[in-house]
Amino acid sequence: MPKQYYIIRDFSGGINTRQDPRDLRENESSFIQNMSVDALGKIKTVGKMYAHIEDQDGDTNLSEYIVQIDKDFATSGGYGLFYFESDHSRDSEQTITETKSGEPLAIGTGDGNIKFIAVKTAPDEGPADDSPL
Amino acid sequence: MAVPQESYMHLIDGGDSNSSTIYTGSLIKIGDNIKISGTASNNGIFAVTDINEADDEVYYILKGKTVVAEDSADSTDPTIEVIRAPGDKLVALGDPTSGQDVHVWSTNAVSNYATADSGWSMNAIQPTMDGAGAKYIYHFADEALRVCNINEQNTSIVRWFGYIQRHQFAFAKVDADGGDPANGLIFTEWQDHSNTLSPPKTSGGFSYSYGRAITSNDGTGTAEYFQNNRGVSIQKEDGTSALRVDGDPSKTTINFTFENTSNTDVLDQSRVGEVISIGTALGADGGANEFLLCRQISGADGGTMAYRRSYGGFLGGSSPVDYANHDTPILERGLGWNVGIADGSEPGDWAKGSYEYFQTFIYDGNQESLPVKMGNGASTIAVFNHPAAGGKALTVSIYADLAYSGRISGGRIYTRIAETDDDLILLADIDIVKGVRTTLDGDHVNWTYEDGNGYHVVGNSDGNSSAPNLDTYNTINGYAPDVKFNSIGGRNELYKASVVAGRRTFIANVKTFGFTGELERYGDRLMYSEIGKFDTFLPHNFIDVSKGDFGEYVALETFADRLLAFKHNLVHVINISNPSPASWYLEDTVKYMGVSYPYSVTRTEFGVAWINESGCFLYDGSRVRNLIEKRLGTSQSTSSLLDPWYKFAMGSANLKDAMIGYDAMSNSLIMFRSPSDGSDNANLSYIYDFDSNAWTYNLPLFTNDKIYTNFISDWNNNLTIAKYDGSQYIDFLKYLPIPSACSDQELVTKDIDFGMPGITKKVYSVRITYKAGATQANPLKYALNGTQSWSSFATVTLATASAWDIGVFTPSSPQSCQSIQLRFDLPSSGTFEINDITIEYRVIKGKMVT
Repeated sequence: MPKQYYIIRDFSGGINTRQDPRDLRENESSFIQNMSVDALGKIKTVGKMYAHIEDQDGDTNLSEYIVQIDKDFATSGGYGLFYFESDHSRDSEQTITETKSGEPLAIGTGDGNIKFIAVKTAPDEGPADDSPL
Repeated sequence: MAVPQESYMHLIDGGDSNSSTIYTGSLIKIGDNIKISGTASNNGIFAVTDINEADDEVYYILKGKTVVAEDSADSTDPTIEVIRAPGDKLVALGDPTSGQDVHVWSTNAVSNYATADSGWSMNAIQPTMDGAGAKYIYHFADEALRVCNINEQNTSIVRWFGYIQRHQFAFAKVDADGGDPANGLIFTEWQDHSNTLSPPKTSGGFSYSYGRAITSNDGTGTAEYFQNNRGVSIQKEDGTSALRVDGDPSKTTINFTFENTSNTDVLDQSRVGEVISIGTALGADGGANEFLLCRQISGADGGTMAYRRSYGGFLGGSSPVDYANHDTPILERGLGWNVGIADGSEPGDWAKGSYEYFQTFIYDGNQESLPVKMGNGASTIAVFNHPAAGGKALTVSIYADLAYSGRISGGRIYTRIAETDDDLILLADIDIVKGVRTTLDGDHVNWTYEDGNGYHVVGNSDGNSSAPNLDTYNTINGYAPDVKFNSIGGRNELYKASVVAGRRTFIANVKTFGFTGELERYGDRLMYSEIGKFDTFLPHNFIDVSKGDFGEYVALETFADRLLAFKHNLVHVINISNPSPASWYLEDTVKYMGVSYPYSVTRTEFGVAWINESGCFLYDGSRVRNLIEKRLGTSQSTSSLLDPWYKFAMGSANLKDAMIGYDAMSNSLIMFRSPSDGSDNANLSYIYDFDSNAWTYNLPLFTNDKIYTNFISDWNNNLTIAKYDGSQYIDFLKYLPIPSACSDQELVTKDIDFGMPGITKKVYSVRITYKAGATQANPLKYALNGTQSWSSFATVTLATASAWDIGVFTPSSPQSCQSIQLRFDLPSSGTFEINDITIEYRVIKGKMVT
């Protein structure tokens, strides 16, 4: 009989430890460790738990990621983490207490101060207190 | 641009950065909301609708409450908080260390991603009073996160952490005396509160806030607000004396201790969510210099109470206060609503009789507390009744305190003929911002501020309630006012599983005082909230799924209008597609498929998946499938290299705490033996790929002897986890299917008989097409005839290859066999790919296997 060639091109069946190794389908394997079959047509090294800074390519740093926290606690595995989104920021965008660096914000008529003007809208009440000349 | 013709805030010479950088630095933008506090007359929340600049003068046009002309400092210290609404990405991380709670991270709050802790607010949510090892579960609905510590060894309460935008008494008029303007509390922020819907404070069954029969009043008398240490505000005291501050709290102190005049610490007089003021007498002009919110009470270890400072803003610039030792009084604020009742002069439909009164708080705009019967404010408190003459309208006046806890959005006053079991008839509907109305479809009458005392809406002498409303507590809320409870989450109350589905919260395995007055746990009780009211749980709102089938619920999940309730040995599938709970039904009880921990369950786009010692299951909305069926041996493995499934899932200590997560990016399930390190080789893991329905086994994804949290999906849909590795920091990791160099990579093929099991074959060589990130010496072995006894090929080292390369393996001599099994066992760490494997063989004609 001439030589023949048996070719395995498809690994997408993954592990099968339920059936006898001789009865597996062509694309199944008896054992796969630390390798992945998610790319059809080949088997490759498995991914990993990357640092959260990594982009989808595992090589580029994201500009937005969960910052590590300076805590060390070692109980209650399996609990404690939750992600949620909100229309509103946790903190204010700005908290303005100074009109400029070193100068407290104040109410008054001097430069850099604020004042509030209630514009009178009724026609018989005249112009706004702060109306232009 | 010209000076605006609408009310505005003028930043003088603001176009010149030498005067101010507020405008030149674009600190306030069009569309922002700004919270102004610390002014004399313009504290409030405003929307910035336009910004004009002319000749270096800058005008911020404000919409919201009425702007009052103000250009004098008046010792005020204004603060402008700018609230922009770009959306925020938030992460909660429970800290099980004693004395620590739940930290919250905000994307928008990060100042430097390279700096640890940036963006984190430590202990932003404080469910636990004492004890270590807290285990937090969460659910989120309508911009509020609910946090429950399920560790019964701790002392804790269920917490509500949500966004509140409200200016209490925002549109209040100043009283006729022209006193100081009001400084209602202003919130545009996230706050941490108890999850309970507490009613107004009571003593002896009657409310501290009281009713009074009035003949005429204008709301100016202090008796309308306080008398006999009763009313909308009371002084903290114990059996010895009024309480006072112990120590010398500075403007930044948050931990307080109170004592009596015998210098004995009094630590049991605070409750989470209470608002207090210190050092200002009841009714003093100006009210209070600062309000404080209680965030944490003293636990069993007698620690201090934690208060949030400058609650509701900086008032008129007086807040925060530098307190002194023995400052007193300490006033509890916003305990209810005082009510004045009289017969009106106009005819009406109120029947003759003696009426009793009830009051409630409304939380978050739509969740009403249970009603409490109103007292009369006497030194020895008793019920308040009003004898109506009949045939008259009623004059109803409402008196409120200066400040209320942030979740309280209003309240209601009800009445009925005294000592009857009639329905509670709505008498007044109170909105803490708008004012009071006596019918639900009426207009609110605005509050009026009474300097130092509080706010009032005084009914006119004609009578502002002409007839009893048809609306009752029952018709408004959909349940009777005499239920035993309508919320869960007080001290040591908890639930061990929760999920939000169909605009309701479902909780299970409940521990509460509510049913009997004793703290009891109902392990197989599955409760649900009222629709749209995520914290309103009623005694009768439970699903009577089963009784006596043993076990308690450990997890809840939902998919396709089904609620899946997990016990350790079964799963209840409950159809909740009908809006009416009466039409919900138990669709299936799936036995032998339960879980022991909530993190053994996850939701995917295909359904709910979970893992136990029998397999990995998927409920797709119609049936449960075992994803390892015909793939992985549950109790036996046909591979000598891989243990059966049950050993993986049970762990060496039989803890059965395998964890599962769904990575949407790779469309795969990730399973992890023990996140709590409760097993030998706790790092063992499996990956199930939904695209190929294939399983692989992994070692390097997780690290043995380390602690991990549960999985989450982040904003990029990456499966994310936090890892405690014993170092200084807690790191956040995510699964990416990008190959990363690792050791111990193995592939064992099927036992190949070339389709002719009974005929002898001779194998000459094996060729592989591969890529390699590192050289691999002699990576291939073979076993003949199903023995799994491995032999080496002739020495071959695969070179590194970034493009497809060929490796040829040849046995020392052609091998005659019935079948051959190949084993790639890569000796070196590196990335590796195999595209195909080619076996060169010849069938030996006529040579049958013997």
